[in-house]
Amino acid sequence: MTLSNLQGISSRLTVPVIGAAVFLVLAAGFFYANGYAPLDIFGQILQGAFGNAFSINTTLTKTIPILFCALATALPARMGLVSVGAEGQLYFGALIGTAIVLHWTAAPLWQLLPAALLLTLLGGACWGAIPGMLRAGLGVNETIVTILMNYIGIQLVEYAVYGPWKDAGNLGWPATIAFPDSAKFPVINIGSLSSNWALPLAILIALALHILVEKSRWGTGLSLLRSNPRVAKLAGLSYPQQVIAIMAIAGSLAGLAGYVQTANVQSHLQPDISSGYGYVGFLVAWLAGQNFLRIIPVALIMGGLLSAGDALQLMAQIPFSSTLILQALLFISVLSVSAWQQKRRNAA
Amino acid sequence: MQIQLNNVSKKFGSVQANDQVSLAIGDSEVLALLGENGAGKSTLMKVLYGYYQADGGQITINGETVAITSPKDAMAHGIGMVFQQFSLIPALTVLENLLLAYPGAPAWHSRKNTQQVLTLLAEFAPGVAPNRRVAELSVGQRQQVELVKVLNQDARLVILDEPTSVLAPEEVQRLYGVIHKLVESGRSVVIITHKLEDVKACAHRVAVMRSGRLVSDTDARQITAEQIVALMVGDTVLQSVAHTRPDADSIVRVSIRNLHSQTDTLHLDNINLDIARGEVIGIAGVSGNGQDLLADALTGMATITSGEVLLDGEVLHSHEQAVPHDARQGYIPEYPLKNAVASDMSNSLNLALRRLKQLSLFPRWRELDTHADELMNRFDVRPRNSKLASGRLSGGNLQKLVIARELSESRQFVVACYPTMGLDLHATQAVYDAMFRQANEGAAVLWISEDLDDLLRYAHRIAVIYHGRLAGIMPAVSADRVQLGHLMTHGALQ
Repeated sequence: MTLSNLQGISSRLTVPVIGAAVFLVLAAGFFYANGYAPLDIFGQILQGAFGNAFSINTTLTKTIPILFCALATALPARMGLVSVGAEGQLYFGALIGTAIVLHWTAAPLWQLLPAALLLTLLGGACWGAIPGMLRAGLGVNETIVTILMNYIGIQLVEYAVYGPWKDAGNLGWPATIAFPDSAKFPVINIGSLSSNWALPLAILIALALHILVEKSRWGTGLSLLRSNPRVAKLAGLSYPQQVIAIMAIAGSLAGLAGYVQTANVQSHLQPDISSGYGYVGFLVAWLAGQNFLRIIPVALIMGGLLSAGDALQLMAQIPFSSTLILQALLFISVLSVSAWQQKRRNAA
Repeated sequence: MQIQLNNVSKKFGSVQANDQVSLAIGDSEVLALLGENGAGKSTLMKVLYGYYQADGGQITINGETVAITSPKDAMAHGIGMVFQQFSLIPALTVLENLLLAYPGAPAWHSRKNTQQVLTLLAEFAPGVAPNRRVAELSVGQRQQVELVKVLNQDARLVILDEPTSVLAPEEVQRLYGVIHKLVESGRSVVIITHKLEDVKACAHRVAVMRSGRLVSDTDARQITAEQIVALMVGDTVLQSVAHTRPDADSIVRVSIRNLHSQTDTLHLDNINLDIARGEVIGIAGVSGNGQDLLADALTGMATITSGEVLLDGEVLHSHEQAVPHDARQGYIPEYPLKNAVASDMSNSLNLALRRLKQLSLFPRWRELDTHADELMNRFDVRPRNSKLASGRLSGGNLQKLVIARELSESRQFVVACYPTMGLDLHATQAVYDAMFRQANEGAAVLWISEDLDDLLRYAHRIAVIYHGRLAGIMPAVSADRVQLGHLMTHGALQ
């Protein structure tokens, strides 16, 4: 290994290592100020996230939607769009996917699951394409539109489960009928570890996107559109077309998160299928610098943090909102360290 | 005021921008400081103005050694500089801009010091109303305001950094007048330029720089234009650009019919023009009359509201279709950094940009790098690093990169908007060579320029654009400067 190789690796590790160190110091300060022993809490967080088979399974379950939503945020970011719409796309994808499950309940797995997934993809794509079209046609800021559309997506699901799709058998509880097993992703069991096929699917999509975006002509086109849309015209790329297409693809990815949550986690379509996974996915995408490979471990860490949050609440009586504070501290530490490194690089 | 620079040296990284330069500037004198791009003339003057700190050498004023560590120090010693980029606030009026830069910045402005500003304005910028907003002024007028701003701070020496490169011919004449006036009032002027006309028009003394050194310092009357050029370019031989002639059969290659297009502030009004195979059409005009919009509309970059551009009888661009990426056309837009390259992407990618759609889904990036290396060699783009982000190239090299991409392949229609702006003689020639080679091979060339001499020398016909329409067109051989000038400023012949 040559010296420049080593330097390359060390400069790549700067942000994760120093960022993590800063985060730990800030988090320790936060816990200490609130009268907890920081080291004990860190131990419990680690235990709650990865300590035993049960906690690992919980972590993996939370990682799946976070991963999909992070992909849905990172892809538009590669062409310079800031989408905060994964949450709404998640809900709307789930809503459309559920429609076929309700009407085709008795169909076998090989028919029902693909059909439901296809509709989910379509639903998410339509929802994602709307801010894309507004951006392409009228130049409306996609960040604002995606944020606002989140509320609409969530309300639409509420309308469905409080109204036409409410199962009378639920005794007033707002939810659809329970999903049949033929509408769920099949379960994978390895020893005492358990997850479902949505996890490898998400990882596979992340890998495929990584290769496409980093190595292909298409990915280069995205960078070109981000860098200079006017010049992209000289290369024959149409900014409006690409904005709509990318936002639609992103929407369908977030839609998948909604479907997994509905089918495998909750088994019903109900109002709270996501606990802010769209926003957590946004954090993950930006923490990972929109790099599809880095998104995978970062999503896992965030999944662990969320699952530890549940455990902390039960065992150490720490309010769940401290998890949100931890997320924020992580975000601030990593982003400020990477901004600092960028500044140093520019100065050099 | 006698200013003497002694052995001034300045290094940027590994580049020696100024190498032991000694230069005197006398009382009531116009010194023309000439040199190619990167010869170190701006750097030297920025050292004198306190913008850069010299690595070595001294500056003396009237025999006393002075330390100039900031523009403020320079001002205090009566040295002022007008840059190529102006530092006026567009939203404020002329008077407000001038008062903002008042020396010593009093807490409020009395009638007396306002009066002083108005007097200077009337003397050196006649025709610029003090209550107009700077945003409404032409480039030439802004330059005058900038000059008054410097004079208002009691400058005894005014340094002008390439003042004529942004001006229309009429405004250039006015500037020469102002320079004479400055000298009459006892001030000295240094004019940084690479235009020989500037020397002829107003310089008393000529200093020529090359590669950071002063290679000549003589009386302006004792040196000819040819000698100056030879000093500027050094040993390298400057070949003259080959003249081209349009095909004798003059088959129409590009036909522009009833073209209309518009932006917020300007519209193109019914442009009609036929360009023959091998013909070079020059478009003259005062900047801001729709040149950039014309170039964009002709290449399909701007939306065409009506009309069409035909290439060999087929519609190339119209309201319904626009194909800016069509391989038959080459486009060199104004401001390449903004309009021609993705500045944060590699030279290799920027050179391959026009072919992006023809590449396979997973392109062989290494082949593109090799191809880029070849092109950069052929068009002398420096540094020869295909992986470097294009935004890090200097202006001249960036333009060469764009030329390499647009003109290395054979095109049928070439549109060039100010392709030599800010380039030195060598680079200018390289651009003309590449452009006229396309014409020789049968392309129709539309060339927008502000350099009337070059247009008259190399174009076959010259059209004048005025307020978004073509005000007139004439063969270059029978065109004269006065006629063209009148068309440019009034939109009609006398």
